[in-house]
Amino acid sequence: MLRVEGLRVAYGKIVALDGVSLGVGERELVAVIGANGAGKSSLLSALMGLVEPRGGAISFRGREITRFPSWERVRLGIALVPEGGRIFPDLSVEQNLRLGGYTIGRGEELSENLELVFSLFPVLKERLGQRAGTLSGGERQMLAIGRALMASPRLLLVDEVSMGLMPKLIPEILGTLVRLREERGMSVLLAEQNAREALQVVDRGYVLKNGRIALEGTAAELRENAEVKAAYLGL
Amino acid sequence: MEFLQQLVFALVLGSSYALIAIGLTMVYGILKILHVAHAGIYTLGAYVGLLVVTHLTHNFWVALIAGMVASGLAGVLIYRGVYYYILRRSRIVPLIVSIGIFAAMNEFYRLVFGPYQHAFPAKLAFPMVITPYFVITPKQLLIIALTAVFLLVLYFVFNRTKVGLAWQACSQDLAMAGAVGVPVDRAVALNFLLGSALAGAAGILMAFYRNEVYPTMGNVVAYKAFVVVVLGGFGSIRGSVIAGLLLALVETFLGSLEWFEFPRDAIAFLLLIFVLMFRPKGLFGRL
Repeated sequence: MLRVEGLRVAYGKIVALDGVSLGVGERELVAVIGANGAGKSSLLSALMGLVEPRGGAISFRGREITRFPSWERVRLGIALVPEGGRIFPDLSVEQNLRLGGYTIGRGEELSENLELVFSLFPVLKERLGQRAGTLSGGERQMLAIGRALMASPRLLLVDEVSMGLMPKLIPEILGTLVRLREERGMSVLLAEQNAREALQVVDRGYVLKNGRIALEGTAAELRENAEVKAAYLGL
Repeated sequence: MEFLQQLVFALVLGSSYALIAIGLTMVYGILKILHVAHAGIYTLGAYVGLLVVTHLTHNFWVALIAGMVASGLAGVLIYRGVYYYILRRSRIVPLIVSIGIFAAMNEFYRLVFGPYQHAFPAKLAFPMVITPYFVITPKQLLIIALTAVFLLVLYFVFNRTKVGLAWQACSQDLAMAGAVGVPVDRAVALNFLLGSALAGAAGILMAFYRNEVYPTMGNVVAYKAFVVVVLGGFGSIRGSVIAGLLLALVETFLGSLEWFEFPRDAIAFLLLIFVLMFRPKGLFGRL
Protein backbone atom coordinates (compact mmCIF):
# COMPACT_ATOMS: atom_id res chain seq x y z
CA MET A 1 0.00 0.00 0.00
CA LEU A 2 2.79 2.41 0.90
CA ARG A 3 6.20 2.10 -0.73
CA VAL A 4 9.15 4.34 -0.03
CA GLU A 5 12.31 4.06 -2.12
CA GLY A 6 15.60 5.72 -1.32
CA LEU A 7 14.02 8.68 0.42
CA ARG A 8 16.40 11.53 1.18
CA VAL A 9 15.54 14.54 3.32
CA ALA A 10 17.93 17.30 4.33
CA TYR A 11 17.60 20.63 6.10
CA GLY A 12 20.33 22.79 4.63
CA LYS A 13 23.45 20.71 5.01
CA ILE A 14 22.08 18.49 7.74
CA VAL A 15 20.98 15.18 6.32
CA ALA A 16 17.98 13.76 8.15
CA LEU A 17 17.13 10.80 5.93
CA ASP A 18 19.79 9.20 3.81
CA GLY A 19 18.15 6.81 1.42
CA VAL A 20 15.35 5.19 3.39
CA SER A 21 13.31 2.41 1.79
CA LEU A 22 10.39 0.75 3.49
CA GLY A 23 6.89 -0.47 2.94
CA VAL A 24 3.56 -0.84 4.71
CA GLY A 25 1.02 -3.39 3.52
CA GLU A 26 -2.78 -3.46 3.73
CA ARG A 27 -4.01 -3.80 7.32
CA GLU A 28 -0.48 -3.86 8.56
CA LEU A 29 0.90 -2.27 11.73
CA VAL A 30 4.48 -1.21 11.24
CA ALA A 31 6.81 0.53 13.67
CA VAL A 32 9.79 2.70 12.95
CA ILE A 33 11.89 2.79 16.07
CA GLY A 34 14.94 4.87 16.71
CA ALA A 35 16.53 7.30 19.08
CA ASN A 36 15.80 10.99 19.22
CA GLY A 37 17.11 12.60 16.02
CA ALA A 38 17.32 9.34 14.09
CA GLY A 39 14.98 10.78 11.47
CA LYS A 40 11.59 9.36 12.47
CA SER A 41 9.75 12.67 12.37
CA SER A 42 11.44 13.65 9.12
CA LEU A 43 10.24 10.39 7.62
CA LEU A 44 6.62 10.93 8.63
CA SER A 45 6.76 14.60 7.62
CA ALA A 46 8.03 13.65 4.19
CA LEU A 47 5.32 11.00 3.85
CA MET A 48 2.69 13.60 4.74
CA GLY A 49 4.19 16.20 2.40
CA LEU A 50 5.28 18.61 5.09
CA VAL A 51 8.90 18.55 3.97
CA GLU A 52 10.05 18.19 0.42
CA PRO A 53 12.40 15.26 -0.14
CA ARG A 54 15.73 15.81 -1.90
CA GLY A 55 15.47 12.47 -3.57
CA GLY A 56 13.74 9.12 -3.66
CA ALA A 57 10.13 8.23 -4.32
CA ILE A 58 6.96 7.68 -2.33
CA SER A 59 4.06 5.76 -3.77
CA PHE A 60 0.70 5.11 -2.19
CA ARG A 61 -1.79 2.57 -3.49
CA GLY A 62 0.03 2.42 -6.79
CA ARG A 63 0.32 6.18 -7.26
CA GLU A 64 3.51 8.15 -7.13
CA ILE A 65 2.86 10.96 -4.64
CA THR A 66 6.39 12.21 -3.91
CA ARG A 67 5.58 15.83 -4.89
CA PHE A 68 1.92 15.95 -3.94
CA PRO A 69 0.86 18.70 -1.53
CA SER A 70 -0.23 17.37 1.83
CA TRP A 71 -3.96 18.04 1.35
CA GLU A 72 -4.02 15.83 -1.74
CA ARG A 73 -2.42 13.05 0.26
CA VAL A 74 -5.22 13.42 2.79
CA ARG A 75 -7.73 12.96 -0.03
CA LEU A 76 -5.95 9.79 -1.11
CA GLY A 77 -6.22 8.37 2.40
CA ILE A 78 -3.16 9.32 4.44
CA ALA A 79 -3.55 11.05 7.79
CA LEU A 80 -0.99 12.16 10.31
CA VAL A 81 -1.00 12.23 14.09
CA PRO A 82 1.98 14.54 14.57
CA GLU A 83 4.42 14.59 17.42
CA GLY A 84 2.87 16.43 20.35
CA GLY A 85 -0.52 16.33 18.65
CA ARG A 86 -0.27 19.76 17.00
CA ILE A 87 -3.94 20.35 17.56
CA PHE A 88 -5.25 23.84 16.82
CA PRO A 89 -5.12 25.26 20.34
CA ASP A 90 -7.40 28.27 19.90
CA LEU A 91 -10.16 26.28 18.26
CA SER A 92 -12.67 24.13 20.09
CA VAL A 93 -12.45 20.36 20.22
CA GLU A 94 -15.39 20.21 17.85
CA GLN A 95 -13.75 22.59 15.37
CA ASN A 96 -10.58 20.53 15.46
CA LEU A 97 -12.55 17.43 14.61
CA ARG A 98 -14.47 19.20 11.87
CA LEU A 99 -11.18 20.30 10.34
CA GLY A 100 -10.03 16.70 10.43
CA GLY A 101 -12.98 15.85 8.21
CA TYR A 102 -12.32 18.77 5.87
CA THR A 103 -11.90 16.54 2.83
CA ILE A 104 -15.03 14.53 3.55
CA GLY A 105 -17.96 15.82 1.56
CA ARG A 106 -20.69 13.45 2.69
CA GLY A 107 -22.49 14.41 5.88
CA GLU A 108 -23.23 10.79 6.80
CA GLU A 109 -19.59 9.83 6.56
CA LEU A 110 -18.72 12.74 8.83
CA SER A 111 -21.18 11.69 11.49
CA GLU A 112 -20.06 8.07 11.24
CA ASN A 113 -16.47 9.13 11.76
CA LEU A 114 -17.49 11.35 14.64
CA GLU A 115 -19.28 8.39 16.25
CA LEU A 116 -16.15 6.29 15.81
CA VAL A 117 -14.02 8.96 17.49
CA PHE A 118 -16.47 9.25 20.38
CA SER A 119 -16.59 5.49 20.83
CA LEU A 120 -12.80 5.36 21.03
CA PHE A 121 -12.39 8.49 23.17
CA PRO A 122 -15.60 9.23 25.06
CA VAL A 123 -13.89 12.06 26.92
CA LEU A 124 -13.76 14.12 23.71
CA LYS A 125 -17.53 14.14 23.58
CA GLU A 126 -17.67 15.79 26.98
CA ARG A 127 -15.12 18.37 25.92
CA LEU A 128 -16.64 19.29 22.53
CA GLY A 129 -17.09 22.98 23.20
CA GLN A 130 -13.87 23.40 25.11
CA ARG A 131 -10.86 25.22 23.68
CA ALA A 132 -8.43 22.51 22.58
CA GLY A 133 -5.50 24.34 24.15
CA THR A 134 -6.97 23.69 27.58
CA LEU A 135 -6.95 19.90 27.23
CA SER A 136 -4.55 17.69 29.17
CA GLY A 137 -1.65 16.03 27.39
CA GLY A 138 -3.44 12.71 27.03
CA GLU A 139 -6.62 14.35 25.79
CA ARG A 140 -4.63 16.28 23.22
CA GLN A 141 -3.20 13.07 21.84
CA MET A 142 -6.68 11.60 21.71
CA LEU A 143 -7.92 14.68 19.88
CA ALA A 144 -5.01 14.46 17.44
CA ILE A 145 -5.84 10.82 16.71
CA GLY A 146 -9.52 11.64 16.48
CA ARG A 147 -8.83 14.51 14.11
CA ALA A 148 -6.81 12.20 11.86
CA LEU A 149 -9.57 9.56 11.92
CA MET A 150 -12.14 12.10 10.77
CA ALA A 151 -10.56 12.00 7.30
CA SER A 152 -11.39 8.28 6.88
CA PRO A 153 -7.74 7.39 6.34
CA ARG A 154 -6.47 4.09 4.99
CA LEU A 155 -3.03 4.74 6.35
CA LEU A 156 -2.46 6.41 9.67
CA LEU A 157 0.95 7.92 10.36
CA VAL A 158 1.50 8.19 14.08
CA ASP A 159 4.47 10.15 15.41
CA GLU A 160 5.66 9.52 18.98
CA VAL A 161 2.23 9.04 20.39
CA SER A 162 3.62 7.82 23.70
CA MET A 163 5.72 10.90 24.29
CA GLY A 164 4.56 12.93 27.24
CA LEU A 165 1.77 10.51 28.04
CA MET A 166 1.20 9.03 31.45
CA PRO A 167 2.68 5.50 31.29
CA LYS A 168 -0.64 3.84 31.97
CA LEU A 169 -2.20 5.58 28.96
CA ILE A 170 0.36 4.24 26.49
CA PRO A 171 -0.98 0.68 26.14
CA GLU A 172 -4.47 2.11 25.92
CA ILE A 173 -3.61 4.38 22.98
CA LEU A 174 -1.61 1.68 21.22
CA GLY A 175 -4.50 -0.71 21.80
CA THR A 176 -6.73 1.77 20.02
CA LEU A 177 -4.52 1.59 16.96
CA VAL A 178 -4.79 -2.19 16.97
CA ARG A 179 -8.56 -1.90 17.21
CA LEU A 180 -8.63 0.46 14.23
CA ARG A 181 -6.82 -2.09 12.18
CA GLU A 182 -9.17 -4.87 13.24
CA GLU A 183 -12.39 -2.91 12.88
CA ARG A 184 -11.61 -0.52 10.07
CA GLY A 185 -8.89 -2.26 8.15
CA MET A 186 -6.53 0.65 8.52
CA SER A 187 -2.79 0.40 8.15
CA VAL A 188 -0.64 2.16 10.70
CA LEU A 189 2.93 3.40 10.52
CA LEU A 190 4.08 4.16 14.02
CA ALA A 191 7.23 6.14 14.80
CA GLU A 192 8.26 5.38 18.36
CA GLN A 193 11.12 5.97 20.69
CA ASN A 194 9.37 3.73 23.13
CA ALA A 195 10.37 0.47 21.42
CA ARG A 196 9.25 -1.80 24.22
CA GLU A 197 5.61 -0.82 23.97
CA ALA A 198 5.60 -0.45 20.20
CA LEU A 199 7.06 -3.89 19.51
CA GLN A 200 4.29 -5.43 21.60
CA VAL A 201 1.58 -4.38 19.17
CA VAL A 202 3.04 -4.10 15.66
CA ASP A 203 3.55 -6.78 13.02
CA ARG A 204 6.85 -5.56 11.66
CA GLY A 205 9.40 -2.94 12.45
CA TYR A 206 12.30 -0.94 11.13
CA VAL A 207 15.15 0.47 13.18
CA LEU A 208 16.19 3.91 12.01
CA LYS A 209 19.68 5.08 12.87
CA ASN A 210 21.29 8.30 11.66
CA GLY A 211 18.83 8.58 8.82
CA ARG A 212 19.26 5.04 7.53
CA ILE A 213 17.42 1.77 8.08
CA ALA A 214 19.80 -0.19 10.29
CA LEU A 215 17.61 -3.22 10.79
CA GLU A 216 14.24 -4.59 9.84
CA GLY A 217 12.19 -7.62 10.74
CA THR A 218 9.05 -8.91 12.35
CA ALA A 219 8.21 -7.59 15.79
CA ALA A 220 9.27 -10.92 17.34
CA GLU A 221 12.60 -10.87 15.54
CA LEU A 222 13.31 -7.33 16.62
CA ARG A 223 12.34 -8.06 20.22
CA GLU A 224 14.89 -10.87 20.29
CA ASN A 225 17.63 -9.00 18.44
CA ALA A 226 20.64 -8.39 20.67
CA GLU A 227 21.33 -4.91 19.32
CA VAL A 228 17.73 -3.81 19.70
CA LYS A 229 17.62 -5.21 23.20
CA ALA A 230 20.71 -3.31 24.20
CA ALA A 231 20.00 -0.02 22.45
CA TYR A 232 16.21 0.35 22.60
CA LEU A 233 14.80 -2.04 25.12
CA GLY A 234 17.33 -1.35 27.83
CA LEU A 235 17.90 -5.03 28.51
CA MET B 1 -23.61 68.48 21.27
CA GLU B 2 -20.10 68.85 20.01
CA PHE B 3 -19.06 65.51 21.49
CA LEU B 4 -21.61 63.48 19.54
CA GLN B 5 -20.72 65.23 16.31
CA GLN B 6 -17.05 64.40 16.86
CA LEU B 7 -18.05 60.83 17.56
CA VAL B 8 -19.64 60.67 14.11
CA PHE B 9 -16.41 61.88 12.51
CA ALA B 10 -14.43 59.35 14.51
CA LEU B 11 -16.73 56.50 13.47
CA VAL B 12 -16.32 57.36 9.81
CA LEU B 13 -12.55 57.56 10.06
CA GLY B 14 -12.37 54.45 12.22
CA SER B 15 -14.46 52.52 9.70
CA SER B 16 -11.92 53.19 6.98
CA TYR B 17 -9.03 52.20 9.25
CA ALA B 18 -10.78 49.01 10.24
CA LEU B 19 -11.60 47.98 6.67
CA ILE B 20 -7.98 48.36 5.57
CA ALA B 21 -6.46 46.84 8.67
CA ILE B 22 -8.65 43.73 8.44
CA GLY B 23 -7.01 42.64 5.20
CA LEU B 24 -3.54 43.34 6.57
CA THR B 25 -4.15 41.44 9.75
CA MET B 26 -5.65 38.51 7.84
CA VAL B 27 -2.55 38.26 5.67
CA TYR B 28 -0.23 38.68 8.61
CA GLY B 29 -2.13 36.11 10.64
CA ILE B 30 -1.73 33.41 8.03
CA LEU B 31 1.43 34.14 6.07
CA LYS B 32 3.28 36.30 8.63
CA ILE B 33 4.00 38.81 5.87
CA LEU B 34 3.82 42.56 6.40
CA HIS B 35 1.80 43.24 3.30
CA VAL B 36 2.68 46.88 2.61
CA ALA B 37 1.29 46.68 -0.93
CA HIS B 38 -2.15 46.38 0.67
CA ALA B 39 -2.28 50.20 0.70
CA GLY B 40 -1.71 50.14 -3.06
CA ILE B 41 -4.77 47.90 -3.33
CA TYR B 42 -6.72 50.53 -1.40
CA THR B 43 -5.73 53.12 -4.00
CA LEU B 44 -6.52 50.71 -6.82
CA GLY B 45 -10.07 50.39 -5.54
CA ALA B 46 -10.43 54.17 -5.64
CA TYR B 47 -9.09 54.44 -9.20
CA VAL B 48 -11.23 51.62 -10.55
CA GLY B 49 -14.22 53.28 -8.90
CA LEU B 50 -13.16 56.55 -10.50
CA LEU B 51 -12.99 54.94 -13.96
CA VAL B 52 -16.49 53.62 -13.52
CA VAL B 53 -18.03 56.89 -12.34
CA THR B 54 -16.30 59.01 -15.00
CA HIS B 55 -16.76 56.69 -17.99
CA LEU B 56 -19.65 54.35 -17.27
CA THR B 57 -22.17 55.49 -14.77
CA HIS B 58 -22.46 57.80 -11.81
CA ASN B 59 -24.05 55.05 -9.80
CA PHE B 60 -22.03 54.57 -6.64
CA TRP B 61 -22.95 50.91 -6.16
CA VAL B 62 -21.65 49.88 -9.56
CA ALA B 63 -18.38 51.67 -8.81
CA LEU B 64 -18.15 50.01 -5.42
CA ILE B 65 -18.65 46.52 -6.79
CA ALA B 66 -16.24 47.05 -9.69
CA GLY B 67 -13.59 48.45 -7.36
CA MET B 68 -13.98 45.63 -4.87
CA VAL B 69 -13.75 42.96 -7.55
CA ALA B 70 -10.69 44.56 -9.13
CA SER B 71 -8.98 45.01 -5.76
CA GLY B 72 -9.77 41.47 -4.70
CA LEU B 73 -8.35 40.04 -7.91
CA ALA B 74 -5.26 42.25 -7.67
CA GLY B 75 -4.68 40.95 -4.16
CA VAL B 76 -4.90 37.35 -5.35
CA LEU B 77 -2.49 38.21 -8.16
CA ILE B 78 0.04 39.62 -5.72
CA TYR B 79 -0.20 36.44 -3.64
CA ARG B 80 -0.11 33.92 -6.46
CA GLY B 81 2.28 35.86 -8.66
CA VAL B 82 4.77 37.02 -6.04
CA TYR B 83 4.44 36.05 -2.38
CA TYR B 84 3.76 32.43 -3.20
CA TYR B 85 7.31 32.01 -4.47
CA ILE B 86 9.09 33.67 -1.56
CA LEU B 87 7.09 32.41 1.40
CA ARG B 88 9.85 30.13 2.62
CA ARG B 89 12.47 32.86 2.54
CA SER B 90 13.42 34.93 5.53
CA ARG B 91 10.60 37.29 6.48
CA ILE B 92 12.59 40.33 5.36
CA VAL B 93 12.36 39.16 1.73
CA PRO B 94 8.58 39.39 1.34
CA LEU B 95 8.64 42.67 3.27
CA ILE B 96 11.08 44.31 0.84
CA VAL B 97 9.25 42.85 -2.14
CA SER B 98 6.00 44.20 -0.74
CA ILE B 99 7.42 47.71 -0.35
CA GLY B 100 8.67 47.44 -3.93
CA ILE B 101 5.23 46.48 -5.22
CA PHE B 102 3.66 49.34 -3.31
CA ALA B 103 6.10 51.89 -4.78
CA ALA B 104 5.58 50.45 -8.27
CA MET B 105 1.80 50.67 -7.89
CA ASN B 106 2.00 54.31 -6.83
CA GLU B 107 4.15 55.16 -9.85
CA PHE B 108 1.82 53.24 -12.10
CA TYR B 109 -1.16 55.30 -10.89
CA ARG B 110 0.84 58.50 -11.39
CA LEU B 111 1.81 57.56 -14.96
CA VAL B 112 -1.63 56.41 -16.00
CA PHE B 113 -3.89 58.87 -14.21
CA GLY B 114 -1.52 61.80 -13.72
CA PRO B 115 -0.03 63.21 -10.52
CA TYR B 116 -3.02 65.43 -9.71
CA GLN B 117 -6.20 64.93 -7.75
CA HIS B 118 -9.35 63.78 -9.42
CA ALA B 119 -12.78 64.49 -8.08
CA PHE B 120 -15.04 61.50 -7.48
CA PRO B 121 -18.40 62.39 -9.04
CA ALA B 122 -20.52 59.49 -7.87
CA LYS B 123 -24.18 59.89 -7.05
CA LEU B 124 -25.99 58.16 -4.28
CA ALA B 125 -29.46 58.51 -2.86
CA PHE B 126 -28.95 58.05 0.84
CA PRO B 127 -30.74 59.66 3.75
CA MET B 128 -29.37 62.42 5.91
CA VAL B 129 -29.76 62.11 9.66
CA ILE B 130 -30.43 65.38 11.45
CA THR B 131 -30.93 65.45 15.19
CA PRO B 132 -30.69 68.38 17.59
CA TYR B 133 -27.33 67.03 18.74
CA PHE B 134 -25.55 65.88 15.62
CA VAL B 135 -25.83 65.53 11.87
CA ILE B 136 -24.88 62.50 9.82
CA THR B 137 -24.46 63.29 6.15
CA PRO B 138 -25.49 60.69 3.55
CA LYS B 139 -21.86 59.85 2.86
CA GLN B 140 -21.08 59.38 6.51
CA LEU B 141 -24.11 57.21 7.01
CA LEU B 142 -23.10 55.15 3.98
CA ILE B 143 -19.62 54.53 5.34
CA ILE B 144 -20.76 53.59 8.80
CA ALA B 145 -23.59 51.35 7.59
CA LEU B 146 -21.53 49.65 4.90
CA THR B 147 -18.68 48.97 7.32
CA ALA B 148 -21.13 47.46 9.76
CA VAL B 149 -22.48 45.21 7.01
CA PHE B 150 -18.99 44.15 5.98
CA LEU B 151 -18.07 43.34 9.57
CA LEU B 152 -21.19 41.23 9.98
CA VAL B 153 -20.46 39.35 6.77
CA LEU B 154 -16.89 38.82 7.88
CA TYR B 155 -18.01 37.54 11.26
CA PHE B 156 -20.35 35.13 9.58
CA VAL B 157 -17.73 33.87 7.13
CA PHE B 158 -15.16 33.35 9.83
CA ASN B 159 -17.38 31.63 12.33
CA ARG B 160 -20.02 29.85 10.32
CA THR B 161 -18.41 28.67 7.08
CA LYS B 162 -15.95 25.98 6.18
CA VAL B 163 -13.49 28.38 4.61
CA GLY B 164 -13.62 30.57 7.72
CA LEU B 165 -12.72 27.57 9.86
CA ALA B 166 -9.92 26.75 7.44
CA TRP B 167 -8.57 30.31 7.77
CA GLN B 168 -8.56 30.06 11.52
CA ALA B 169 -6.66 26.78 11.29
CA CYS B 170 -4.22 28.27 8.78
CA SER B 171 -3.43 31.19 11.04
CA GLN B 172 -2.69 28.85 13.94
CA ASP B 173 -0.60 26.26 12.10
CA LEU B 174 -0.37 26.60 8.34
CA ALA B 175 1.46 23.32 7.67
CA MET B 176 -0.87 21.36 9.93
CA ALA B 177 -3.90 22.89 8.23
CA GLY B 178 -2.60 21.42 4.99
CA ALA B 179 -2.00 18.10 6.70
CA VAL B 180 -5.64 17.79 7.77
CA GLY B 181 -6.71 18.39 4.20
CA VAL B 182 -7.24 22.15 3.86
CA PRO B 183 -6.12 23.14 0.34
CA VAL B 184 -3.88 25.84 1.71
CA ASP B 185 -3.09 27.60 -1.58
CA ARG B 186 -6.74 28.12 -2.32
CA ALA B 187 -7.60 29.09 1.24
CA VAL B 188 -4.88 31.75 1.25
CA ALA B 189 -5.93 33.02 -2.17
CA LEU B 190 -9.51 33.42 -0.91
CA ASN B 191 -8.16 35.18 2.13
CA PHE B 192 -6.38 37.69 -0.13
CA LEU B 193 -9.50 38.04 -2.24
CA LEU B 194 -11.67 39.02 0.70
CA GLY B 195 -9.11 41.18 2.52
CA SER B 196 -8.18 43.03 -0.65
CA ALA B 197 -11.80 43.57 -1.65
CA LEU B 198 -12.39 45.23 1.73
CA ALA B 199 -9.35 47.47 1.23
CA GLY B 200 -10.68 48.40 -2.20
CA ALA B 201 -14.03 49.23 -0.65
CA ALA B 202 -12.27 51.45 1.88
CA GLY B 203 -10.46 53.21 -0.97
CA ILE B 204 -13.68 53.97 -2.80
CA LEU B 205 -15.51 55.02 0.32
CA MET B 206 -12.75 57.46 1.23
CA ALA B 207 -12.47 58.73 -2.35
CA PHE B 208 -16.20 59.37 -2.35
CA TYR B 209 -16.20 60.90 1.13
CA ARG B 210 -13.35 63.34 0.51
CA ASN B 211 -14.15 63.68 -3.19
CA GLU B 212 -10.57 63.11 -4.21
CA VAL B 213 -8.43 60.39 -5.76
CA TYR B 214 -4.67 60.75 -6.18
CA PRO B 215 -1.72 58.40 -6.68
CA THR B 216 -0.26 58.58 -3.18
CA MET B 217 -3.56 58.49 -1.27
CA GLY B 218 -2.47 55.16 0.20
CA ASN B 219 0.72 56.43 1.82
CA VAL B 220 -0.62 57.80 5.07
CA VAL B 221 -3.10 54.95 5.13
CA ALA B 222 -0.29 52.41 4.82
CA TYR B 223 1.45 53.36 7.99
CA LYS B 224 -1.70 54.02 9.94
CA ALA B 225 -3.03 50.60 9.03
CA PHE B 226 0.17 49.11 10.39
CA VAL B 227 -0.24 51.00 13.60
CA VAL B 228 -3.77 49.64 13.81
CA VAL B 229 -2.64 46.07 13.14
CA VAL B 230 0.10 46.29 15.76
CA LEU B 231 -2.20 47.86 18.32
CA GLY B 232 -4.81 45.23 17.58
CA GLY B 233 -2.29 42.49 18.24
CA PHE B 234 -1.05 41.10 14.91
CA GLY B 235 -3.52 38.74 13.35
CA SER B 236 -6.53 39.52 15.50
CA ILE B 237 -9.41 40.81 13.40
CA ARG B 238 -11.49 41.90 16.34
CA GLY B 239 -8.41 43.64 17.73
CA SER B 240 -7.88 45.49 14.46
CA VAL B 241 -11.44 46.72 14.33
CA ILE B 242 -11.33 47.98 17.90
CA ALA B 243 -7.87 49.49 17.45
CA GLY B 244 -8.98 51.22 14.25
CA LEU B 245 -11.91 52.83 16.03
CA LEU B 246 -9.73 53.72 18.99
CA LEU B 247 -7.11 55.40 16.82
CA ALA B 248 -9.81 57.34 15.01
CA LEU B 249 -11.33 58.45 18.32
CA VAL B 250 -8.01 59.65 19.68
CA GLU B 251 -7.15 61.44 16.45
CA THR B 252 -10.50 63.09 16.16
CA PHE B 253 -10.76 64.28 19.75
CA LEU B 254 -7.16 65.40 20.12
CA GLY B 255 -7.36 67.05 16.71
CA SER B 256 -10.45 68.98 17.71
CA LEU B 257 -8.75 70.59 20.69
CA GLU B 258 -7.74 74.14 19.88
CA TRP B 259 -4.50 74.09 21.82
CA PHE B 260 -3.38 70.79 20.36
CA GLU B 261 -0.91 71.72 17.65
CA PHE B 262 0.74 68.36 17.16
CA PRO B 263 0.38 67.05 13.58
CA ARG B 264 -2.71 64.91 13.48
CA ASP B 265 -1.23 62.15 11.36
CA ALA B 266 1.57 61.64 13.88
CA ILE B 267 -0.83 60.83 16.71
CA ALA B 268 -0.95 57.22 15.54
CA PHE B 269 2.70 56.81 16.38
CA LEU B 270 2.41 58.47 19.74
CA LEU B 271 -0.37 56.06 20.53
CA LEU B 272 1.69 53.16 19.22
CA ILE B 273 4.68 54.03 21.38
CA PHE B 274 2.51 54.59 24.39
CA VAL B 275 0.62 51.30 24.07
CA LEU B 276 3.69 49.22 23.25
CA MET B 277 5.44 50.54 26.34
CA PHE B 278 2.84 48.83 28.46
CA ARG B 279 1.56 46.06 26.20
CA PRO B 280 4.27 44.86 23.82
CA LYS B 281 1.88 42.39 22.19
CA GLY B 282 -0.62 45.07 21.30
CA LEU B 283 -3.94 45.65 22.97
CA PHE B 284 -5.43 42.30 22.09
CA GLY B 285 -2.36 40.28 21.20
CA ARG B 286 -1.81 36.72 22.24
CA LEU B 287 1.32 35.92 20.21
